[in-house]
Formats: sequence, structure tokens, C-alpha cells
Amino acid sequence: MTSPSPTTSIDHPHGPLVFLHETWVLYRRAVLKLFRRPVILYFSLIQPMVWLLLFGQNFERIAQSPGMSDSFGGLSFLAFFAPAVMLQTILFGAGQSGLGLINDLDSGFLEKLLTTPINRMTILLGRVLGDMTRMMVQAVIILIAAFVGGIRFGADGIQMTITYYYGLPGILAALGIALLFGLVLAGFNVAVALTTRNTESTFLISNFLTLPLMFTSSALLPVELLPDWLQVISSINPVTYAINALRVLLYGPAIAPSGQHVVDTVLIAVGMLSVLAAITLTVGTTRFRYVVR
Amino acid sequence: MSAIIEVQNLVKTYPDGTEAVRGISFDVAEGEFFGFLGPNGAGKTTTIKIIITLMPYTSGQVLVMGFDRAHQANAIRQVIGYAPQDVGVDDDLTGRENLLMQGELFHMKHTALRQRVDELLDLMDLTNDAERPAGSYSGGMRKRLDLATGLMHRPRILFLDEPTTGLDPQNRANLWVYLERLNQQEHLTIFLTTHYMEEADRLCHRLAIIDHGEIRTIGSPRNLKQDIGGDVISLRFQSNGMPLPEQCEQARDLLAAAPFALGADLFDEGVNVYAQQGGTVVPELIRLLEDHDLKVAQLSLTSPSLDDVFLKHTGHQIRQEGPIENWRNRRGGFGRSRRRR
Repeated sequence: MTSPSPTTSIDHPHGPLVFLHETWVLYRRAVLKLFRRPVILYFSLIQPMVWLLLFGQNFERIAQSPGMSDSFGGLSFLAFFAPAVMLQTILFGAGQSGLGLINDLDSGFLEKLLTTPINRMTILLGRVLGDMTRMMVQAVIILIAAFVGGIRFGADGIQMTITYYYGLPGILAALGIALLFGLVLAGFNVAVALTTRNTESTFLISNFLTLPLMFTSSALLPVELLPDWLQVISSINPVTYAINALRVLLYGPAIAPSGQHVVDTVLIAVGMLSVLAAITLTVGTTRFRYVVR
Repeated sequence: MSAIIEVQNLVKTYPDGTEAVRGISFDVAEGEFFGFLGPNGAGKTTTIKIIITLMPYTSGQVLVMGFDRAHQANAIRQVIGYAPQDVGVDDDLTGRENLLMQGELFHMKHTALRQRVDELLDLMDLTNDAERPAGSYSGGMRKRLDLATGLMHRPRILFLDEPTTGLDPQNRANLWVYLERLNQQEHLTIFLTTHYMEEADRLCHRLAIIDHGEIRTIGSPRNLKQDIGGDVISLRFQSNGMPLPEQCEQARDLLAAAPFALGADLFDEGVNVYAQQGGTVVPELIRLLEDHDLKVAQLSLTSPSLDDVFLKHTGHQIRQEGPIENWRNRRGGFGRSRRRR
């Protein structure tokens, strides 16, 4: 029998720093992959841009019309709609992260990682953090596009139709909400991908969910303008709460749901999304542990 | 020579009752090039996945460099390298990035890391393509990169699951040269599974013939072939192109008892007779058969090959695929909804 030579350390190092290092290496891989295929990043933004800049134009007069503009908090429809497009992009993009995981599963890449002594959870964490990064990049691009789209060139010079009530802190807080929303979906998609283990089904499921979730929320219109039955659904749709929080953080109290304080709107969203993220991430992690056990 | 892998009575039964591995035992010596030869579904991949800690097992004992598979999985992971059947490289990353990432996961430090990457790129003749994405590599190059990533942390044992499946003959022969180089120059113990006779014959110092989850025989290709004794005379009996099983059996019984033959076996369409200096016994053999009204339709005389060894120990040829290994698609395997050649 061979005994390990005493000079070589056989124990894989462990501890929080090691965990962070391994997560970092795998996270960097995920981000590197993202920029190796920038086409995916750009093309996944085309659709939201169409929604934002073309679809939004259809409703512009409605938001401005007398009697309506109060419901829209005095915002242009573009401004009103931009947070919804941000979340929609995250919803769509989350499908792709599931696909990446299935690719690793099928290609032998994951199998090979599992024969190394790294902590199993860093594999999942690196990927989820990579997805978060992509979502943030996309969300920022949407915000910029909305801002630029809102610039008007009139006789009296250049005019911004979108102004941020709380400035940069508000924008950063809004991105935080979007990030939390992304976590919910990342967990969900990991769970779906590891359950179906099939790219087509994963893609279908995430695509299938996106539009119904948007249309049954306050994405397109203020809740009070929706039919009663949709108001009921929208009141249990987490997308509604996430969008409401994004709007108040970006545009201030005027757009807060009637009678609600800005802080409450944000806290409700944070609470709801945190609970949901905890649930989906737990399920996703459980599925992952099962697959790599 | 000391054993670097020791497997005792290893059993793997899937939850649905499929017995993939039925109590196998074997040792692999340090520095050895060891092979598992068997058809798909024989239990080769299951055994390898148990040893490399990817799959739980039902009972038995597995020691790798003295570490017990049951509770020292992480120590084992430290000393093994693995190249899966599906190439485990990231196609979006360059060859160099793939290697760097692997090294970093093993916490290799800056200078040592870069040196090792250059060394392996050189060893695998990938230096000129190091900055290209692995997705643009040819099949043979991707496989070489895969081997290199598995070697970053200087493992003591390299596990290869059907390393040349899916490669064309030229790339296959090419890869053999690299594998031999690793075994000889790097003093690496290599454990490979294959269903290619030529591969096992060419590469393995010792091999185990495995079929239906059991090891039928273990030995060096040379000894296994010598055990057959002399040459192999293959006979076929046919009428209008149809095989005649009864005549085959009759001939087998007759020839097994003949003084000039060392033995005889049935195979799917004919009979194999083993004899010293086969050429000299052919006339006598034909005469004996004709005396019993057995008319030979086709006769060939060959030195024994591993095909003959396989046939002798399993009673069938390796080419006919066994009960296809769909159990690998169930739990335990990873997301295998895809094809398997």
C-alpha cells in the first residue's frame, strides 16, 4: 500500500477565504463567458429596447391625457414603463442562466469540476453571481436607454423628460431591488434547469412565464386602471411590488400606490422578494445538491 | 510494485435493482497503464465513477493511494485527474484560460501556476493555439486540452473514460502517443476504459476484461493472448449463406476433443479452434470434419488477438453491444439525456 508522502500536503485547504477564492474563480469564468459571446448580451437587449422605445410610444398620449396623468404620477409613459422593462429583461435573461447550467451538465464540464476538491456550493454560487452581473449590466443599459429616449429637442432647447427624484442613491437602491428580483429568478431557473435537465423545456418555461407575469402586474398601467379581476391578480403578483418599489425609488412619492408611504412601498417589496428569493434559492440549492451528491 | 488503487468486492446496485457492478476486485500498481476492456453497459464507467468519487456505491472497499473512498473523498480528489468521455473543457475560454482556471481551483500560486500551464501546453503541443477559444479546436486538440486540464495539479493517477471515442482513426492513434508519453515521461499511473481492442492492446500494461458487471480475467495483453495458446482457426459453417448452429456445436465438440487442438469455442456464427502452429493442423482438421460430414464454408487462421481473448472469456464478441447501458441515464449520471455512441 502506498502511503502519501509526508512532504506533500494532501488536505485541500479550507476556510472562508478558500471558499471565496473558489467562488471568485468560477464567477470570473461566468463573466468571461458572457463577454466572449457579447452577441447574446446585445441581442437579449433588442427586445426590451423595442418594448421600451416603440411600444411605449403607443401609450405616450394616454399618460399625458387630462385625468390620466394623476394616475401616472405626472410621468411620461416612457419613464413609467422603464422599470417594467428592466424587470422584463431580467425575467427573460434568467432563462439563459438555466441553459448555461444544463450545458455544463451535458458537456462533462461539471463532472470534471466535481472530481476536484472544491466546495460544491461555489459552483452554484459562481454561476448565480455571474448571472446577477449580467442582469445588472442589462438593467443599467435599459435605464440609460430610457433616459436618453426621454430627451426632447424642442424650440426652447434640450429638455429631459425623465428626472430622478432621489438622484444616484435612488438609482442604486432601485438596482438593488432589481438584483433581489434577479435572485428570485436565478433560484427559480436553477431549480427548473436541474429538474428538466433539458434546454428546450427550460427555455420554454421561462419564456412562458414572462409575459403573463408582466401583464398581470402594474407594468403597463397603474393598478387602479386595470379591470377588477386583474387588480386582484396584480395584488398577489410579486412583479407588481417590485415595479412599484422601482418607481418610487426612481421618481419619488408622486407615483407611490395610493395612500402608501414611499418607505412602505420599498419595504414591502424587499420583504416579499427576500422571502421569495429564500424559497427559490433553497429549492435550487436542494436540486443542485441532489445532482452533485 | 505497490498498489496505488485497491478495489475489493465492489458492488453497485441501482435503486431500481440493476446490478451494474457485481463484486469486482482488482489492484492497479503505481506507474501502471491499466485498462478496463468491455462493451457498453459492462460496468466500466460505473466503476471509474465510483473510484473518482462521482458516484456512491453499494458495498465493497475502494482505496486510492491508501485513502478510503468511503470517508476520504476529498483526499482522493487531490491526487486524481479525470478526463470524462464528454470533453470537459469550456469552449468559450481559450486553451490557456481553461488551464489557468483549473490550476486556480487547486489554489496554485502565480509563478508555479503559469509554469505548469506552459509546461502542459508544450507537452500537449498546444502552445501555438493557447490563445484561441477551445471551441475552435479540432476534436483531437480538445481532447488533449481536456487531458492537460486534468493534469494541472500533478495528480498521481489519471482516469480516462473512453478517451478516443468519437475521434477519427488518425486522431486516435495520435492521442495514444500522448498517453504513452504521459505514462512514461511523467510516471503517471493511467486507468482507462475502452471498448477498442487495438487501444487496450497498444496502451495497457495490464487489462481487465469486464462484462455484465464482472471481471472475467486480468492480465497483460501478451499473457492473455498467450493463454489462448497457439493460433486461432476460425471456422464457419453455412448453407446458402445461413449459419448452421447445430453443425457448429457438433464441430466444437469434435474439435475440443481432438488431440491436435488446445480447445474450441463457439461464437455467434462459427467455431474458434486454438492450436499450436495452426497452419500444420489445418489439413488434419478438415479431414476430421469431413469424416463427420461437416463441410467448412470458410476458414481463417490468425494469431490470437484480444478479440479472441474476449470471446474466450465472455462467450461473445465485444462488437455486439450488450444490453445498452441505459442505467447510466438514470440517477447518478449527470444530465445524460443525450446520445451515447
